[in-house]
Amino acid sequence: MSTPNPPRKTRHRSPIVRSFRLVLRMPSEADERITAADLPESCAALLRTVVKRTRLWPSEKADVARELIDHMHDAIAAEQAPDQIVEHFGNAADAAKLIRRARKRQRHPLLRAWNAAVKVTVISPLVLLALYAVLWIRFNLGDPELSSRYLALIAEARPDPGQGAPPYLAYEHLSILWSDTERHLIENAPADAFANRLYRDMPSLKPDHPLYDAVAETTRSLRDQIDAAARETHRPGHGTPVVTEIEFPPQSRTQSAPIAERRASLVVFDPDHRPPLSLGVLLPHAQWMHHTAALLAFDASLAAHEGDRERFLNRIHAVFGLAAQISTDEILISNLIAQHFHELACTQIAEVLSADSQLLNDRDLANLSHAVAASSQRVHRLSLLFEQAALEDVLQRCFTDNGRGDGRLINESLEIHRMLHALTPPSITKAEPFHEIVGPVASLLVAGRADQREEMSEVFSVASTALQAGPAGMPIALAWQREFDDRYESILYRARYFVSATLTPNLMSTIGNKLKKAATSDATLIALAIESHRRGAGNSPAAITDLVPRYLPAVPEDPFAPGTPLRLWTEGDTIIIYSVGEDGDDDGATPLLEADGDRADHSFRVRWSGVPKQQSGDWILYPPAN
Amino acid sequence: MKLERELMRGAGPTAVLKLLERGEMYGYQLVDALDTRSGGILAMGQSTLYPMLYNLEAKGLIKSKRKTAESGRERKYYHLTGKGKKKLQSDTEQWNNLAGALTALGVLGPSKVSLA
Repeated sequence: MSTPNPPRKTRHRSPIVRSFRLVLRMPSEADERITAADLPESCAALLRTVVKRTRLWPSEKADVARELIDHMHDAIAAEQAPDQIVEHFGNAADAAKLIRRARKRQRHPLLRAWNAAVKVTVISPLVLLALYAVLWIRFNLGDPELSSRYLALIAEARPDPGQGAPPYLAYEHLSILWSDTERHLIENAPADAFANRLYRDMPSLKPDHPLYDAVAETTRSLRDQIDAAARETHRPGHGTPVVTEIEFPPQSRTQSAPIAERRASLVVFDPDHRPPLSLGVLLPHAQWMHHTAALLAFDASLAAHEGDRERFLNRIHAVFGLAAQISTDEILISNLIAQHFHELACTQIAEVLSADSQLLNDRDLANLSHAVAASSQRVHRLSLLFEQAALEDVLQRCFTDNGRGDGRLINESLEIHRMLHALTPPSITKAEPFHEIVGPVASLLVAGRADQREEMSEVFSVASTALQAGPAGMPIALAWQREFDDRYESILYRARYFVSATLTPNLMSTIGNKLKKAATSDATLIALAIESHRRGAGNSPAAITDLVPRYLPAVPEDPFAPGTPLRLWTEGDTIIIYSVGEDGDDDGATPLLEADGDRADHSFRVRWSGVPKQQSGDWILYPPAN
Repeated sequence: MKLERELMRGAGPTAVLKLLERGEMYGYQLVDALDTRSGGILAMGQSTLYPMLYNLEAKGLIKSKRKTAESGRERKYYHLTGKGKKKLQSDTEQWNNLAGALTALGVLGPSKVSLA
């Protein structure tokens, strides 16, 4: 005897919900057949369950229902009791599953293929979307742990600038004045007037350049400000510790934005505050110092043309002063800038020696020799300690920290990557949707923090070894760089190690550049010594060794022929000081020439990655290229 | 005594094909015949029979057709196809070989039932 069903609770539902439920509850053909079959309730309920669970198409359900109804009618006709029929039927869930599988096999192959395609098309994106959502959350919710406090390390090493306004204010003032002029000059210059930015080309401008007169006029008009800046270069440090927060408008990348729009604000570093990204504070005044150095170097050249010996010497010593100031930050980029300033001064000295050596008296020659030697010692001492600390700081911001030195890539890495890519302050770059979309997926591919650090450490380890080896370090540096380049060719490697590969500067090129710049500096010393020798002995020396020890303390070594001196080529009054160059072959002072007949630029470009291509020909270190 | 599921999975389709060799049958007839003629050993419920029939049909071994019986009721009748006949022949041979091997090993004794 069956127990009556308990009365169902009625729930109030909105008309919309009721309509929706009504549609869902519309009886199917299979249901109608089962109802119309007039089977005992237990049999009908069983059939409804089985048919519903098959999840087949309605027509298939109807067909299955019809056959099962027939079967049950036959069983009833054979006088089987309803309970017996239900019992003999078997497990309803299993039956539904098996029927579903079997009926689906009966479908037309094209229909089955279509069904599979629909599944792939509809379900796969949903699965991928769900997976992406998980990755997105994982990528965007990760927090970096800033445990490495690089700023304290750097700030501690910076010398106290003493009382009064810090020197950088004079550079800033001069830079602002210059930048407005520079913008005006660039806008009115012929398209091919500059190979670089004007302030970079300016120190080597010759009187036949179309903008020479305009630049000379501007420089003269800024004489007082240049004098003021030159005075500041003799003070220690450049006024740190500070943090520079520069707000650049996007167009300032082209250096054509009005200077008023790219003012910087300087904030005194607060050790308790979350330190800003290291790269944002490593170049606090670099741009202003760059402008100042360029103006000083150009004014030195101008002074030499005007025969103003005193001003020439003042500007040269000021450039050495700038190099000294910025080299107090033992950061690679600061070192490189210091080397560049040093080279600017050496080039101006070499220009005077090769064109009008009589501008300088004997005492000047001796003083300049001392200045070059002292500055060279300072700026060519590359230290990687802070560089590593600074890059470690960048790394710690790109990844989470699991407390064991490892972690996964997080959102902050994108901003840093963009900044590094553009080599511009982070505030310049706006969020780029493409990176935001790719970032979470990239986090799956990119190697963890520990692996990235290991890759970076390897670079620093090889670079340190190469640096300590002096000129003998060059082959080490180049060999490693080529090996790295092979590695870097793999797309998988670049994907996995994009953080460390992007972060790690091309230290090997940097080392090569340092050796080249040091050799240029040595050549200036040799040229000064030769001029002194000429004045003392009345002739040029036959060999560099003739200058030692009276005019030169020691013979400078050729960076590409360790153990041998730089080479000297003489013919009458003409002298050429050169290195054998990367190929190690002495070509008798024959440089590699560009297609236009100019001397090839042998300097290693400082890049974030990539191998410098080995060049043939000698490096002409003196006289400077015209 | 009923067969274990795995054995039924192997023997069931052959038994159904054998039953259909003599002529078309509908579902209940097949269930009844399997039960009575195998002494209950090959007895199977609808939950096993119909998926099996649909599978055999999907493989092209049997075909179905709705027909009205003499009683006036309409049912779905199954009959063997040419492919089904070949399959039955092949299965029968394999079962004979298996039975022979098992008999030789002393696993099988005299048969208690016949599908004659």
